[in-house]
Formats: sequence, C-alpha cells, structure tokens
Amino acid sequence: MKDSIEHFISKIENEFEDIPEGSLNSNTNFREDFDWSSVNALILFSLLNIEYDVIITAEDIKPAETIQDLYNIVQSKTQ
Amino acid sequence: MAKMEIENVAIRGIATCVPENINEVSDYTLFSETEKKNFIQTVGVQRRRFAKKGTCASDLGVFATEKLLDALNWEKQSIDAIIMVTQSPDYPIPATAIIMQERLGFANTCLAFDINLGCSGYVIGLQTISSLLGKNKLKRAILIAADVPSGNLSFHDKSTYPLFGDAASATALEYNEEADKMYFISNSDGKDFDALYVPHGGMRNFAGPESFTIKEFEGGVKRNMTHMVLDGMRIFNFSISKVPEQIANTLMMSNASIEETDYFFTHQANKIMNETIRRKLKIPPEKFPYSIDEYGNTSSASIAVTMCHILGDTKTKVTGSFILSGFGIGLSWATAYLKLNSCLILPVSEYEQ
Repeated sequence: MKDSIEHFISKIENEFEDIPEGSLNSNTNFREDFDWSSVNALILFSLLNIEYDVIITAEDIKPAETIQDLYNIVQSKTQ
Repeated sequence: MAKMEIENVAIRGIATCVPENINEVSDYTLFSETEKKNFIQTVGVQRRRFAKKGTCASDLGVFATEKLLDALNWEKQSIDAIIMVTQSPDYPIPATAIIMQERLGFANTCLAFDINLGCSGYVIGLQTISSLLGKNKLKRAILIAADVPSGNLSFHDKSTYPLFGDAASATALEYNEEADKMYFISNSDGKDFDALYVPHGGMRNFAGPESFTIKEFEGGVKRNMTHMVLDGMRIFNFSISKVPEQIANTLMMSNASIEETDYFFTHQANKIMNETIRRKLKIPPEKFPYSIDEYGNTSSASIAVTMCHILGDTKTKVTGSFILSGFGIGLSWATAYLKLNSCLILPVSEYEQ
C-alpha cells in the first residue's frame, strides 16, 4: 500500500464528519472509541475501496480491533 | 456474453407513479434520534411511499401506463407487446402482464409475459423488449417495471423497513429506423442469491403455518419467512466491485465517455453504495442524480422514477445521452447506454384509486 499509517489515519479522519482531525492513532480501538455501527462500517468500507481498491468483508474485519489492525488488513489485500 | 447492440428502436415516453401514502424515516419508532440522522445522511432515504394494503404493483403499473398512453396519444390497439418486470405479482401464477393486457384494453394479438427481476430489471426489461421490435418484428411495446416491496417488509427489520418504497414505471417503445443504437451489457451470479431474498412462498419452501412464525435474529431484528432478508454487506461489496467495471465497459462498447454522457441514472440502492460507484468512476455529482431521498429504494422502478423525478416535464421532450445501470437482487447487474431523441418524460405522479 502506498500510504503510511499516518496517511491512512488522516484519510479516515477526513471521511467521517464527527471525527476531529488528530484524534485517532494506530492503537485507537475503532469498535469502542468510535460509534461503530453498520452505517459507519459502510462508510469505512467505501473509503477503503475508493482509496485502495480493496473489498473488506464482515469476516475479514471480525478479528480486527485497532486502526493498526485495519491498516494491516488493507496492506495484506494490496500486496 | 450478454452484450448487445440494438438498432431501430426508439423510446417514446416514460411515466411513473407512487402511492399517495408518505412514510417518513423520522417517524420510524425503532430508530433512535442518532440512527435516524445517520440513516438519512448515509443511506439517503428521507421518506418513501407505501401502497395501501391490497394495492398491487399492477394497479400502479396500469395507472402509469394509462397516463403515458394518453400523453403520447397512442391507440391501445396499436400495442403489440406488454412486459411486466416485477417481484410483486398479483398471483404466483399466471403472469401479471396478461392480466394487465386485459385491464389496459390491449388486443388479444398482444404478446404478454413477466420478468422476475428487481434492481436490474428496468435495464434487462429494456434489453428484452427492444429485442422484440424491428422491421419484421413487433412495432410498438410497453415495458412496465413496478414493485410493492412494502408487502414483504418486516417493521422490526431496520435494514429493510426504512429503505424500500413502492413505485411503478411505464415505458413506451417503438420501431423506428432513425433511432440511435442502444448498447447493453448484463451479468448474473446466482452464487449469492440468498443475499437478498424471500425464503418462503415458492416451491423450494412452500408457504405453511411455520412461514408466519416471527423469529428473532441478530441485532433485535424480527421477521417471518415471508419477509425480505437483506445481507447489506454482501450486496454492498458485490455492487462496488462489479458495477463500476460494467459501466466503464458499456461506455467503451458504445464509444462514449463520461464527459459526453448527460446523466448516469442508477438503481437507487443506498446512497453510500451509489456514491462509492460514482467516486470510483470519477463521475461529477451533477451527472449522477438521486431520487432515493424522496422515494427510497423503489426496486425495478427506481431508474425510471429517478429519470421522471429529475427530467419530468409535461411539455418539453427530452433529448440526450444516458447511462442506465441497475444492480442487486439475483444477483444480477445490467447497464445500458442510450440516446433519447424527443422522448416524453412525465413528472412522477401520485396514484389515485
């Protein structure tokens, strides 16, 4: 993947209106610190598809907890 | 490969109608205030129309067709074929199109049959009906794409109840040697048929007393086996991976470009899904209109409803180049590129009983 984790985080912060810039880091637990709902999951999957051309399934995301985990999933799919 | 070019067929007019009864998402008592806000913003539905109990897709379809024939001044006896695209038939058998042939006063010499498709149905309906028209073929035909999904929704299912709306469309087509060529690409994938389906009521699972037992599912969802089941994530992933490619291929096949295309009328699935498709293809937002805010996901009627919502005018006829793209239930996806020349597109009307 072309983006560093910092870049990846800033793209997520830009996509969600209610996430202030600079409020996420690689250890942020997106399920707990984030209003994690099916609607937000779609926004996130949409962003990852547009930016990195990856398809994330419900199965893929099950074990993931942090932003770093998400980054790793995207990275494994773009290799 | 279901790739087709069709010559000598002109689309003369499109009319659509919706039931009078408006159902606001903000009135949906199962949503919290935050859920309402998120749903309206992200999925894009503000309100939709639900038919009264007992009103069928065919009732809406007959109404839209009568309006269209009146506006075009077409004789009923001049119609050679009627195709009804629906997943809400009057009866399991016979085909609803045949019942409509009689109700509309079309001749017995008329060809009539149904197509069981939803989201992709308008485009595949156009592809099918246009193939019947030609020099030594039929001369005039009516395509009706109508659905009443409200009849199969569980109030206790947040993924379907606030999303779908009822609507009907009627499209008039005619053999014409001056008409521009139309281009179609269609695809099917039955592997994920259960990502959007009604489990009971067909021959695989005949409807019986157990079909109507309410069961509880993940997330507080309650429904019986005659209600629609939607796996939103699977439909989402299917649509964003297959549809942009098909639209790009259709543009390539017709030697057209995004710049030269006036509008991209897509099935109104869900705003976030449609926006992903738009952003991937880099289509400017002003060329990618919506009707989902006013009418919800109107199944097979959605593309025509959007056309009438955006371009509808009783006086000025429409000329321009368009992509039409439908995708979803089946799974099935289809895209057409076509040029309209002086086509009468009526504003969305309200069904009167």
